[in-house]
Amino acid sequence: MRGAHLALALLGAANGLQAGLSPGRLPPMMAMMIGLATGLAASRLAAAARDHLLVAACALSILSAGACWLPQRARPLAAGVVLSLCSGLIAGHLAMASDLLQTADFAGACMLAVVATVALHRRGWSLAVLVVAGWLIAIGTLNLTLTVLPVTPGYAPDHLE
Amino acid sequence: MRGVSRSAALTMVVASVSAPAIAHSGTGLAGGFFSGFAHPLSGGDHMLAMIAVGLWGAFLGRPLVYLLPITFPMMMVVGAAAGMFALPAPPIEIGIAASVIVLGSCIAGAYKAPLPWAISIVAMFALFHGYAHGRELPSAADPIGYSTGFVLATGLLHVTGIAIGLLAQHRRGAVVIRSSGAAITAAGAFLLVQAVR
Repeated sequence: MRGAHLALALLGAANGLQAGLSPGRLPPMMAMMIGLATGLAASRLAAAARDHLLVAACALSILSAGACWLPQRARPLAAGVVLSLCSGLIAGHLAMASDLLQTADFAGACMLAVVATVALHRRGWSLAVLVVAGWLIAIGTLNLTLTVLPVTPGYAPDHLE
Repeated sequence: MRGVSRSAALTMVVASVSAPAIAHSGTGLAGGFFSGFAHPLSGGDHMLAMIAVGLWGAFLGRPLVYLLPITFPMMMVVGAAAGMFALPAPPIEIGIAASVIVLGSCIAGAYKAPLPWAISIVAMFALFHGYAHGRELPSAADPIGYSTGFVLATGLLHVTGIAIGLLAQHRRGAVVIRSSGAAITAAGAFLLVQAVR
């Protein structure tokens, strides 16, 4: 499936950032793993549902990255857990619909993001995490646009030509 | 942004510009992530504007040092979406050249813009850059990878600009930064002449 591995990596990274900044990191991480396992264990979906899964993955990436920008008091742990659970579910379904090995994209990106976020947060570099979260929101928005775009512009003369 | 050593700033610069700048390839771009990543690096106009955003952000300090590198990619995505849907737009190449001139001038003139002004200027010019990227999005194997690549490259160019801007902490660094701004402005003027012809 075109773009699924990258969508999974972005979803994993966004959730990793969100979990890394969460006051309690263990509940969101566990929820993510439970969701992922559930999604993988679910029956294989028809090919027609793959595009919807991709849209859902992009939307959840945006929400997860956007949650990083909320102040701590506006970001209850329960909401983070629900977000992680949904992300894990979608990632599991998407991996089952595309390629099981792509689960590694999601899990790897998530772990990397959590470790990096915790390290940066401890050094007082949380702003760098917020900047990366902003980039992930931009990428997620663009990917969401691409999923609804009927045809990409294709090869056209360069704007300098 | 005190407390960052010169060696750390130089390391960030070298790490961020390790990809070679090739000639703007224009038509025929194909592929996914790596093609998208290379696209902003292959256009001098894009590269100069994005580095200038980081440079100006470093000069303006907090909170703009991190708000500008967030504003530009986000608004660039809006512009890209407009380009993909072929919405009517003013002359894009003139807008891009103007972005290089204006941002270079702000750096050269050490303009301490108020927060709303700085964000508005960067947001407006980001639309032009995004529109150009959106119109040039190839019907390739992985448009999602391509779009991810060019947003990521944009962010890293901003970081490069910020790293260069850290040189301003030193006595001669400020002169170097403002001179760089003047050079960027001159390059922008050259691009504008090319675009108008």
